[in-house]
Amino acid sequence: MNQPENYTQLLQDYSDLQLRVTKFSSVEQQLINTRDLLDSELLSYKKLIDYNSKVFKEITDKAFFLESTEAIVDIFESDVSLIVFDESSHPSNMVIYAEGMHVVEIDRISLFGDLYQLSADFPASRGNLLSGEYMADLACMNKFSSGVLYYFSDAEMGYRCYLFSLVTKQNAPFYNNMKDRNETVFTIFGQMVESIFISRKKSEQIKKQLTEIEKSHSELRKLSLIATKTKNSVIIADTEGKVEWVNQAFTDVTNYTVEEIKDNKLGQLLEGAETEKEKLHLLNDAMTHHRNIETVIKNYRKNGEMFYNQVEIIPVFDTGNQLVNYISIQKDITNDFLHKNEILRINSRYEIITQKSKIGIWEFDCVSGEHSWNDIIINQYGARRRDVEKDYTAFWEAAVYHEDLDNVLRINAKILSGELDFAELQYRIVRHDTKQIRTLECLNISERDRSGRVLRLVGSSIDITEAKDYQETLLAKNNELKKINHELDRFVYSISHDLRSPLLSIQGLLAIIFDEEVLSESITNYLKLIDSSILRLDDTIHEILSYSRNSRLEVVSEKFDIVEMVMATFEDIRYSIPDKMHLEIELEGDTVIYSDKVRLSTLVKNIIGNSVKYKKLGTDDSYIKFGLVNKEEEILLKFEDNGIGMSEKTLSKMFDMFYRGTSQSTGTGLGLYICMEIINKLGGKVEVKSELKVGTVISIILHKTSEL
Amino acid sequence: MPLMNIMLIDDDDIFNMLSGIALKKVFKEINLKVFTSANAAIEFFDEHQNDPEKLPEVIFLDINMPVMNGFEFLDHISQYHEDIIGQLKVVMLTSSMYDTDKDKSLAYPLVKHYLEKPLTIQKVNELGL
Repeated sequence: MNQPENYTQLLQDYSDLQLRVTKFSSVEQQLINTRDLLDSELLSYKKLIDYNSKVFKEITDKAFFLESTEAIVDIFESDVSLIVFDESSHPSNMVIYAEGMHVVEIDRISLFGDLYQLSADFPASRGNLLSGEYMADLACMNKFSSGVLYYFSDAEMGYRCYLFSLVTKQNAPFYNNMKDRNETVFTIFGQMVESIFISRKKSEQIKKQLTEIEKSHSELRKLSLIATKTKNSVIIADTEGKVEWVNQAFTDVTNYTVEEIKDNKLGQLLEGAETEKEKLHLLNDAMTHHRNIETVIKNYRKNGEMFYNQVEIIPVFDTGNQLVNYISIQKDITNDFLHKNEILRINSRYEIITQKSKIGIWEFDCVSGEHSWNDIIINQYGARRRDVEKDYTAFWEAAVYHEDLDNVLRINAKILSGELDFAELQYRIVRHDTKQIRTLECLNISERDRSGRVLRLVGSSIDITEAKDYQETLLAKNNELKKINHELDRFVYSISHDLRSPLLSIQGLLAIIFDEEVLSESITNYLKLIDSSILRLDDTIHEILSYSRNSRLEVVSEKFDIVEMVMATFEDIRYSIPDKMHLEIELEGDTVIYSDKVRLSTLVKNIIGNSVKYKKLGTDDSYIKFGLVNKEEEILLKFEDNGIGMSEKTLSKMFDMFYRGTSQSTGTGLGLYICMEIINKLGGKVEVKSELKVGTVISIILHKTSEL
Repeated sequence: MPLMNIMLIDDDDIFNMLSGIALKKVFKEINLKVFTSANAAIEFFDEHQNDPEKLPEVIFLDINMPVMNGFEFLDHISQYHEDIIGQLKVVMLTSSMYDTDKDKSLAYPLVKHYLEKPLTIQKVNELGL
C-alpha cells in the first residue's frame, strides 16, 4: 500500500465526510424545524379541539362568537381577530365581534364595502391568505400587514359570516406573518365554526319547531275540546264535502249520530221540503270556490221537525294552500228567529195601532235639541211636515190656544227640570189649516239617566174634541137623569106618605072605636075586616115602594151589624102574631158586614116576615135559626124555620112576581120577588130548600165588596 | 103632681086627635098643646122663652109637614139654650116607611123615640114617660 496515495484518499474521504456531516446537520436542522413545526401544528390542533369542545357548550350566538374571536388570536398567534355576522345585508345591522381592537372604532360602511370586495375576490368556505399589498387597497383593512379570511353564507337563511385573523402593520415585527400553513389550519378552523354555527342554527330551528309543534298540539287540544263542548254544532268534512266528524251538539240538535251522518254530503240529510233551494245553491257555490259562507237555512231534524239553522262553512287550507277540510259551524236559531219575527210582528202591529188609534207621538232630545213628530201629530195640528220642521217649538207655541199656553208651558218646565216625572195635560190648539179649535189630551213623560238628569221628553197626543163634546153631552144627560130620578124618588116618597097617612088615620080611628065603643058582634067583625084590609093595603104600599127603590137606587154600602139587624127585625115582627116564637143565632166570623143596609134590611124583613107569617099555627115551638158565616170572599146568610114549608110546585114559583103560594097568603106576591131583585142587585145568590109541614131553609151568598 | 107639658106637632088633625086620645088615656094630668105647623110651635117657644113652666117636656113630632118639616124644626130648636131644651124629649111620630128617616131622626140628641103612626095606648105605655 502506498502512503501518499492513502493520504489523498483520506483527505478526500474527510472532505466527503465533512460534506456529509454538513449535509447531515442541515438535514438535522430541517428535521428539528419540521419537528417544531409539527409541534406547533399539533398545538394548534389541540387548541382547535379545545375550542371545539368549549364552544359547543355556548348557549347564545354572542358567547359563541366571542369565544371564537379569542380562539383565533390564541390559535393563530395574531394580534387581531374579527368576526362579522351579517343577516340583513346592511352596514348598521352587522354584528361585529373583535379581539385586539375596539369594535366601536370600526367604520361599518367601509367594512361593509371591504367585505363585499373580499367575497368577490375570494372563494367561500376555505381559508384565504390576505397579503399586506392586497389589503392596502381596502378602506378598512389597510392597516393590516397580513391576515387570513374564512367566510361562509347560507342563501336560504340569508346570512354571511366573515372570520379574520389579522396582524397589524404596527405589530408585524413581533408577530409571524400569516403563511400558507395558517391558510390550511384556518380552513379547518373556519369549517369548524361554520359547521358548529350551522348545527346551532339547526338545533335552534328544531327547538323552535318543537315548541311550535307543542304549541299547535295544545291549540289542537283546546280546539277539539271547544268543538266537543260547544253548544254550536261542529261538522268536519273532507275536501269533497263528505262528513268525517260531528260533535255532540250536532247530534243534540239534529238527532243524527256520527255514524248516521258520516260520509253523507255536508247538510244533505238536513234538507227537507221547505229548505230554500237558492240557499243550497249559495252554499254549494261557496264550497266549490273554497270560500267562507254564512247563511240561515231551513233544515230538518231526524224526526222531521223543521228548524232554522245558522250555517257557516269554512274551508281549511294547509301551508301549501291546499284544501284540507271543510269545517261547518251551525246553530239552531229557531227560537231567536221566532222571537225576532214576533218582535217584528208586534212592532208592525204597534205601528198599526198607533195609526188606527190616531195617537200622535213626539220626542224631544234634551241633549241634541232634536224634535221628532209622527205624521199623526202633524195631522192633529192641521199642518204639513215642512210647516213644523222649520222650528218645532215656535210652531207648537203658536198653535196652542192662547188661554192654555201659560199653563202648559209651566207644566212642561216642571217636567224638564225634573220636578215632575210625567204629566197628563189637556189643552186646546188652533189648527194650522182650518183655524178650528181642537182639544188634545197629552201625556208628557221624561226619560232620565241614572243620575236623574232629564235626557229626553216623549209624549203622546190624542185629539179628543169629539170625545169631549160627547162626554159633555153625556154628562149633561146623566145630570138630567139624576134629577129625574131624584124627582121620582121625591114623588114616590110623597105618594107613599100621602097614601099611608089616611090609612093610618083609619087604623087609629078603628083602634079607638074598638077601645071605647060597645059594639055588636057583626059590626066588630066588619070593623076587623076593615082593619085587615088596611094592613094589606099598607103592606102593598110598602112593597111597591121597596120594589121601586130597589130598581132605581144605586147600591150604597156601609158597615153595620147584621145580627143586630136580624134581632131587631125579629123583635118588631114577632108581636104581630099571638103565638110565641124564638130566634136562634149561629155565628162564624165578624157580625159587622159591609153591604147595602137599606136593601139588606128589606131582605131580612121579608124573609123573617114570611117565617113568622107562615109558621105552624097554634104552637109555641116555632123558631127561626139565623146562621151567619162571614168569610174572606163572601158572606153566607142562612134562615131556617120549622114553618109550614112549601111544595115543590110553590118552590119553583116562589120568586115570581105577584105569585102567592098559599091561600093563607095575605100579601101582594111582591115580597120574595123583591128579595130576588135585591140579591141580584147585590150580586149574590140564593138557594131555597123546603119541605111541606117541615120547614124552609133560605141560604143567601153575598160577595163582599171592597170597603173603598 | 104638676101637669106634664106635652106638645103635638102634626099637620093632620085626625092624627092629632088620635094622639090626644091615647095620651089622655095614659096620663090623666097633662097639659096638651097641639100645633098643626112647626112654625106655630116655634112661635110658642119664642113667646115663652122666659117662662119655662109653659114649655113642653115631650114633643110628638111629625116629619112630613108643609112649609117646615120635622127635621127643620129639630134643627131650629136644637140651637135653643140648655135651659129651654135641657129636659126636652122628642118622639118622632111618622107615617114614613123610609129607614133613612128613622136613622136621620135618631141622630138628633133630642130625639129619644121613633114611632109609626098612629099613636096608640100600647105605644104610649111602652114609651115609659
